[in-house]
Amino acid sequence: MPGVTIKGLTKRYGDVAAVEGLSLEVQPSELVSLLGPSGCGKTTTLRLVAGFLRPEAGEIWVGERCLSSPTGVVPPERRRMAMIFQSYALWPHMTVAQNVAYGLRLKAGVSKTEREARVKDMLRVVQLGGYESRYPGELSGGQQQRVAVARALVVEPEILLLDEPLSNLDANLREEMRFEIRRLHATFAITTLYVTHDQGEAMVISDRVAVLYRGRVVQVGTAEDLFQRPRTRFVAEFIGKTNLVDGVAVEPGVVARGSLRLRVAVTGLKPGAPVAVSIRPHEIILVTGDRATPPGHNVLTGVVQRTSYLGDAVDYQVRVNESDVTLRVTAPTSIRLRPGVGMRLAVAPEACVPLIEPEEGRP
Amino acid sequence: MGAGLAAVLAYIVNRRILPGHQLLAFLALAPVVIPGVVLAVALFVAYTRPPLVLYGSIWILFVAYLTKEMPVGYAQSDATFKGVHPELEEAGRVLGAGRLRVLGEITAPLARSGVIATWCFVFIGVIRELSASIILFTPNTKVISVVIFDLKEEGQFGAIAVLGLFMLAMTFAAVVVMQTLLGRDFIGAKE
Repeated sequence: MPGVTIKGLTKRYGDVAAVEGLSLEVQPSELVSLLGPSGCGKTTTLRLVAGFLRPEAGEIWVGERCLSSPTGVVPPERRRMAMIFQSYALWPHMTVAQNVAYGLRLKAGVSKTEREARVKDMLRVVQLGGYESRYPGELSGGQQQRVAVARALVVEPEILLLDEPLSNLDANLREEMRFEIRRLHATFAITTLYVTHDQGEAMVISDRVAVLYRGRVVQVGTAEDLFQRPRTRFVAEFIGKTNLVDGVAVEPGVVARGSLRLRVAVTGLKPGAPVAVSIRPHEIILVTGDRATPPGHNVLTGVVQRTSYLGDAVDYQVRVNESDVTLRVTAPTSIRLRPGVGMRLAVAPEACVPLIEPEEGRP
Repeated sequence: MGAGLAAVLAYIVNRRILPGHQLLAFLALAPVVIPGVVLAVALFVAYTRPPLVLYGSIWILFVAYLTKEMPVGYAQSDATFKGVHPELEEAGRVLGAGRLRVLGEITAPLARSGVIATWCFVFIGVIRELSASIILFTPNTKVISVVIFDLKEEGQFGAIAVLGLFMLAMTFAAVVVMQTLLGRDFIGAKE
């Protein structure tokens, strides 16, 4: 099972670059999501990998084969890939079995009996045994989705491409299909590129997530990496909720804003440089009365401005006294504070993540 | 023939296969603004002299009809191909089918009923055409509409009634035959 290497890929539509110098390495059998807002170039990237588009610059390699470069593109039918589309793209004039068998009919060396057996097996894997002679128009959205999955997997592709495959399903089904895709990936271990704009989906499904912004990969990592160690402002804000404090580095490990001083997770900052610090709302601990703050934490004081009860947690908006900063804090429901109440806030230095490239990727 | 050409044109334009496809679309639709009589006179002038002398043969009528009905056929086919989602073709490509194979096994079956409808529209338009025919006909290539026009000048309403009925029956029969023979929609074809 080969991996995919994308080097400096660029694709323009007129004067607008949809993808600009995008590089990405996908390990064999890895499932990598391309995550980003609409217009970030994720679908264009997928279509470039599939061979529907020719890049203006850059190369796409699968294993030892160079499939796309500005001088030549191996057509989609010779790339040994399979793709699952947002619209499912099932052929309405063919039965479920005919849809699934299509790719096998085009493969040399697959006999009719073998073909029928493999189609039957695959339909059983996606839990659609017995639906062979139905037409796509007679199936529900979730079932059509499963047919599309079966049609792509039955040919045993080297690379599997998915273009927002769950966005047409309702919320419950979407949740279920996330685990289904994960299960199928564990079974078949096909190198997979998965395009989505839904960060929750990307985090559940993928081994690693590549966050795309304006045609580039701004950060690649596991869900945990991206959430706990975002490198840019864009990633910090796009993956989960966060507080951003714009300040200036005063020591290699301290960022200041007004009289607010935050010890941060790294110590390599250049004093004098502007730095944005990302603090997740649930990393901030509210300390009331004269209770002790956890040792080693940054301690600030503040006043509650607004509270919202969310059922499993309470969301506070806290005005910090040391500076003109307002922080969002997610606290357990065991502490309830009213607006106007003063308290202390404790934040571990490890939870204060300086954004290394605050300018790049600024929305 | 007209429907076929219109379908090919619409496919090319819709899938942007050739550079300049927008010009092609414009050319296909342009005849709609030209009155039949003007078109006929233009064709008459163009094809009564070398290099291409078509006047006097059935072919000048063929060219006239093809031109005149092209906008109708093109608009119909365009709608048909817009209805076939490009992802349906792309799904075939990724699974290993070349462009032609996809055209034959996926696009053509899905566009079939639309192309048949196009043919019906073009056929009906041609059968009843008078304004161009009346300028381009010769004694050997007198079409029914022209004959009816002549008979009316002579006041032979009985004969006109017979021919009119015949035209009606022919059009009707042709459309019915096309619809039943080729236009059978498969179950579940509509999502």
